[in-house]
Amino acid sequence: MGKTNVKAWLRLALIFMLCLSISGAAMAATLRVGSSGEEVKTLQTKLKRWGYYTGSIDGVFGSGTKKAVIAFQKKNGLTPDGIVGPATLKALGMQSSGGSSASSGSNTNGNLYLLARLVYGEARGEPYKGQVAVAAVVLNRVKSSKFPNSVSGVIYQSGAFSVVSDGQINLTPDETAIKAARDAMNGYDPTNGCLYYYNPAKTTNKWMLSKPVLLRIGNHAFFK
Amino acid sequence: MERFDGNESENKKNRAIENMADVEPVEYEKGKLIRGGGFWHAVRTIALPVLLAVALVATALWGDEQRTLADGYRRNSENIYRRAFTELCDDMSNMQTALGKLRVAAAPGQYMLLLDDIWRLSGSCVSLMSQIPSSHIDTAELNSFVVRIGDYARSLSKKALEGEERSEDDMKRLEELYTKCAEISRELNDRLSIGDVPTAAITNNDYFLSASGTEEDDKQDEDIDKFPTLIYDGPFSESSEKREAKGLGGDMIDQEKAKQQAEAITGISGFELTGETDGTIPSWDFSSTENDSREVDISISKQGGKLVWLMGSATGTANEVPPKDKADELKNAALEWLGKAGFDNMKATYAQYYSGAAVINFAATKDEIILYNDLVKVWVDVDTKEIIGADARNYLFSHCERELAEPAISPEEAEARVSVNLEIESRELALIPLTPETEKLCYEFKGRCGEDEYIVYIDAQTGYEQQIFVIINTENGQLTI
Repeated sequence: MGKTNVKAWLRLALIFMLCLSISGAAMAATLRVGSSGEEVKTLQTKLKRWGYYTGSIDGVFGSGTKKAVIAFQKKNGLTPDGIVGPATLKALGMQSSGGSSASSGSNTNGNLYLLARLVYGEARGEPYKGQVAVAAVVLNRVKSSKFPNSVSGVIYQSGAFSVVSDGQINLTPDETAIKAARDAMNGYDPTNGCLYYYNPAKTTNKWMLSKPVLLRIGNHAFFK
Repeated sequence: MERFDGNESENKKNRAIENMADVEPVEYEKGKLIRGGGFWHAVRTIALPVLLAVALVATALWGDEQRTLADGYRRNSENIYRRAFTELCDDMSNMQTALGKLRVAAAPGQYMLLLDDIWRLSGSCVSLMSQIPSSHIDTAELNSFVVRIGDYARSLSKKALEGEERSEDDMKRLEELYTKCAEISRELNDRLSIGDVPTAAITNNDYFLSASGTEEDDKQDEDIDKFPTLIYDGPFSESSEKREAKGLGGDMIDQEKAKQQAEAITGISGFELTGETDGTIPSWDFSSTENDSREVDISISKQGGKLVWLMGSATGTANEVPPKDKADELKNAALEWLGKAGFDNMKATYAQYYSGAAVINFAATKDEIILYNDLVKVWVDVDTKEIIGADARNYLFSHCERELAEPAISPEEAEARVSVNLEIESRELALIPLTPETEKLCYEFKGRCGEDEYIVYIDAQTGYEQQIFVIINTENGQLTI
């Protein structure tokens, strides 16, 4: 075994490592100097709104955008490298998978949007009435003494909603879910005051199954 | 060494050729393998094992890093859970202390401050309890107890502010609350001291239930009294949560009759039963479609055959507030429909515009007095002026014949009670909900303070300022908070 062999090993190891790191980087869409397009525009809009960026929103990642990104990263405890990777994208609230750029600023009402996200996560396959019903259950809980007294308190209560534990709550809601959340906030309650619901095909919770069901909509059974 | 290597590789090469022969005969015949043999040999004997070894090491390093990361996250969340639980224990014992002090507080000022403390601590406990990883089924009962202590304290302060003396009953209840609170606080603090703190998602459902002396089986039976019963008037009181619908009345109707009623109200035929709803307002639920296949859902009460809600969708998607004359047309369309659907003497109050619809709030009126509790919301399609939705649950809950006493103070006297900072623009008489169960006849003053619009309510009997709302003008219309 000569020096040459050791060198070859090292070289191979290096190449392998490089491959690993490259594939790792390629997995998530990153934005850096030279990137352009809709995502960069969204990035610039967000940075501008929060006061990090002063240039024009042209969809081209230049040195100005890089400076703003570094400032944002420093402020948010991220590595200030000027490259928008998955962590920075997440901190910015941008979906790294791309595609839907529906997260426009039209829904300024935080509670409404949070509720819509829950509805989308929990009931996106359900009939419209069923989506309003899920939102209504959240609002009935807010009004009940048995639950936290805010929308976010109820939604993020541990173990209350499976979509919160598995992260589906962070999906971008569609128009229907937003409308359902809004209708429920305006008073619609197809559940007649229910505080709980479950999917009879999926739940194994004995306590839930023992309760008298007040009504069923789609795949959900509702009770008080 | 080189020679040896050479021979060895020569042998391997041959073996390789033999092995490859079955698989790739064509390549073998062309002799390509022999010429490229040195490279493939290197790949097979050195590079592959090296690659695998490196991959193994890399995976191990990566795995270790992931574990460190996961440990970090776990510790972090455990710390948050521990902090929340420790604070909860603190707040529970502080609340117990305040309840204890209330029994001996003599000065009105001291009494008020303690009630205020309890109200604050109750809110804090509820917030902390929701941060602890315990199921919502487990926390429900204790949460309810804590919320009601706060709510009760709040109602006692209101009574005190209006000059009412505390009653024997109140003192007795405070004593009971103190005892129960002490019991729970002791149990929680004991658990804290032995480290029995929930730090990971609890799968069993009785951490808090057992702490508050309620067993798992007991919660099947809702009426079991493990906590002192509080009789008072507040938004979270038991009587408010169990209130019944006053506005029903009339005979029970069957499914067929309800279906006819649904058709009469909407003018749509072909309703199919989708289910029945049990509960405070038992109802028949139907579904049908408009001519352009938009879905329409409707719920008709079993008693009296009243409209509970109607839910459809608009043809357009507009979100803007329309010009005044258009808004009036929409309002009139809604009013006309309300009359047909059996809601008389209604008056429009606020409106919002979204998803192609105007959502207009209508309150019932009696002798020019607005009854805000008897509320019906109507959704009107802004393009077609067709009624696409309605929600009458509030109306059905509270509408009844009321005996309204004449105001004891004059409008001028009431106006004198309004802050000088409010530039009054209009005045009306209104019956407003203070809690789900109590209503007060008040003078309603709308006005401005700087840029903001406010509504101030002055009790028509006592002149006491009952409520202040601020009107928020959004891009979708007006909201009151």
